[in-house]
Amino acid sequence: MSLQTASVTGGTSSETMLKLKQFMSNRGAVLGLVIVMTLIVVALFAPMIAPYDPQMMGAGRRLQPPSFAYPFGTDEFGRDLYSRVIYGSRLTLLIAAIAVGIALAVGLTIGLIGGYAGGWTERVVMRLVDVVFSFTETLIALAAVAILGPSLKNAMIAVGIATMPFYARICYSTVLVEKNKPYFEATVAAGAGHARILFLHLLPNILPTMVVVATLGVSTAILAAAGLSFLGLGAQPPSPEWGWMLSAGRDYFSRAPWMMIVPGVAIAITVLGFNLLGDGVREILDPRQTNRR
Amino acid sequence: MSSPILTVDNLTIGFGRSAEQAPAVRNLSYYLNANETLAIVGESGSGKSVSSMALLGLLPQGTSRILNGTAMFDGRDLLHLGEEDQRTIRGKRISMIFQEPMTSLNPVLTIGRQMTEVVQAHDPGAANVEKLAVTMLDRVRLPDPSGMMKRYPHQLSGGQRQRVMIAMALINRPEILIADEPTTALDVTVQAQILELMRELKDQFGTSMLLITHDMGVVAETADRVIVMKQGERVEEGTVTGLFENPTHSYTRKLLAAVPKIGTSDVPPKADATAGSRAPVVEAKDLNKTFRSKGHDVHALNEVSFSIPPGETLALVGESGSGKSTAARAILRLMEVDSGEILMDGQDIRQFGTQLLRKSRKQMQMIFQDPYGALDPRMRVDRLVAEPMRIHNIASGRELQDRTEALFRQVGLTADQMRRYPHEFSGGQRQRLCIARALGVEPKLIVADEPTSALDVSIQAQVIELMLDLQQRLGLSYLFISHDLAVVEQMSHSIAVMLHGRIVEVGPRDAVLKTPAHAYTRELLNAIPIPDPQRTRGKLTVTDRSAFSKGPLLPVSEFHLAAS
Repeated sequence: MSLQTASVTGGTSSETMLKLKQFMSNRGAVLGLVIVMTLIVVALFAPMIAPYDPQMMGAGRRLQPPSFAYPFGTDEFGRDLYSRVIYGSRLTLLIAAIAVGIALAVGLTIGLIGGYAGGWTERVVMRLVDVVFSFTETLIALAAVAILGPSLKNAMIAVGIATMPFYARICYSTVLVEKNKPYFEATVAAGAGHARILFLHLLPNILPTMVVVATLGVSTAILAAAGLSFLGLGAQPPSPEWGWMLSAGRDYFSRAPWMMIVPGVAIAITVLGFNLLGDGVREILDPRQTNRR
Repeated sequence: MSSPILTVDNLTIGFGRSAEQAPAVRNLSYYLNANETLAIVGESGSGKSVSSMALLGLLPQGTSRILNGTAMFDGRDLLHLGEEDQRTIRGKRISMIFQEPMTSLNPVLTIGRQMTEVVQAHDPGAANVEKLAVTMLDRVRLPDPSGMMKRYPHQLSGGQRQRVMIAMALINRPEILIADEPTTALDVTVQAQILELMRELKDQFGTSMLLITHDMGVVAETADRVIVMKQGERVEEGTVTGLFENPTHSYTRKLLAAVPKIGTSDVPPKADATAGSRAPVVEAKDLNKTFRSKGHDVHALNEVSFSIPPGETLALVGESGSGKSTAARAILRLMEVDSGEILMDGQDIRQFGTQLLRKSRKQMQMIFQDPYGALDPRMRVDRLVAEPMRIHNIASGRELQDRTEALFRQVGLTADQMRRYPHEFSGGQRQRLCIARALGVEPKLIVADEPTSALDVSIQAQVIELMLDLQQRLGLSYLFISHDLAVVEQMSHSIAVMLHGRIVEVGPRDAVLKTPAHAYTRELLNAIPIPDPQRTRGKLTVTDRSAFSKGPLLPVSEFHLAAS
């Protein structure tokens, strides 16, 4: 209460500053932000950073260990792994964006409708989500790829479908919480229609939660997509997708371990970065973290 | 009087980064004598709770700091004790009762387990703990104390839980009992019983009591001495009779003046003389609603009928669970009733489809109890206030903006506050926003569900004044739901008393309050704490709720009906 009255004069901008400060004081979150920003810069300027064409065979000799000329070594066709990892970051970010985008859009719609409508709609929609939820993500993704056929595009769609129930469930429970708040009843009592309630009141109130969920979901999506590519169901050769590179390196592991280590470490760092960032974002968007007095 | 057992000197507490510049409690000094009740009174944000939490080391970790001061108890400074030492005092020599009896007991442990735990925490080898616990439950007059030991908190009513809390607090025979708003969450009749119990036990056990409250009625009935706090500082201190008779500080006077006292408002709110003869704004006929839960039915509404003439206020009063809020929601069709009619302009709105219903909501708006929750936190307040007008296509563009601005002024807010968000407003201001929002569509009826019970008394007085003023100017009708008969007296033209889903008495304000015909109404009136230490009420009788007559309403005099 004391904070609420105190902030009357403070206004919104000082609150933003407060949250920014809080974010910056979380070392893990800052590290995550640095990793993610670096990844984005690398992806954007890949042609300038990479010394070789990622597809160029015989850029060096085959299965070269890391050296000054080839920092991460070369693969079985003599392609420069350093350049391939750099170009791979583009694919990884693309996969993350599209898979999470699909999952978020579908999950949000289902959760919003299920939670708001209640009754039979809720029961049918949410039980269907439960059915999908009861299988592991990889299994759903495999099934989806089996139907759609193996390709990078289909892998993204498959991952989106497989992770969707998670978003739908969280969205649904957030809607239920919001529905029980007095402002919801106040809006109904004012005579508001469905569209107004859904889009002007419910959506803005659940969006922050969903943003956090999406940030944390990015790492899951990257891992799932890499898994599919590793199994040969996602990106196809000669694409420099990290999961596929990991798979390709498997046959040469005893002779050229760097072929697996390099994409493996790249995936691990990326996932770590998004997880740390997601935790940081969750912390600042959780009102209890700042309003606690 | 003996020498004080607790002496607090220059206590200063700050929060967060502004701790030093703007402390929440500043240089607070007081003493507490043995077997004395000291009341600390103030409005929200006055620092009354914080200052007593500090004594037990219960301040929120990390954000709050004790900047200065001492609190001497038995030769030791409570503010500078280690965690270990603090624990030997907490719950043993100084114990505390909290405001929320619903949540301050652990829901997964039996009452017996929680009672004995308090003893064993301080004396692991204590003998006959069970027996002691049963004795204590008996002392706080809980029925069947040994059976009570095996029950869980959710099986108890609010009043019973508060009794358990008191038994737990007193089981170790503490020297000081800190009671933080111990009766605020309870119904008046339950409050009266708990206060009586606390007075009795204090004398029996010789405990000193530190009573933290905002309620002047509770102070007058319970305290020996009073400290008035405002924004972290003590503004006045005195004996309870002295303070009520001769308040010296202007803030104390203001606080006392703001307290609604029953029987003091002789002039009823002005009403249109022709009101009675004109058709009612809304008429409820034989409403029934049954909630089914775990095998037994709860009749939330049982043949409830009432009507509200234009420009008048009908108050629905009763204890929690009496069905008054259900009735309010039923009128607005925020909740569907099982049977009955709700007539507006001769039409039964229960028959309306979605479109007609939405249109009919233009005629009736609602103000809620919790002004913090009733406004969407992510919408700017000007858009919130304009929303009902936008929904019902009353205005748009420039006109909408002008009307919104006019509404802000009408409820005592200014146009430069329009671009803010709800969290930037205080409780009273938010309730004004809710009222402005309701007024925009020019409704005939406003349903107000406990609109002032979450507010401080001085703010409550302002909101009531605003509502009365708007009724005068705009000819509004109110359905006013409240548990506070003193507020009801100020607001209403007629009163309906509800018990267990039925109206047991209904009539003009003065008839119901001055010549109550039903025994339950008399009991409610008798239980109200009187904010005057000189006037003590008679021995409180509390009848079993099911013993009251709930037969059909029969006329007592013209317009005044009571259950037979």
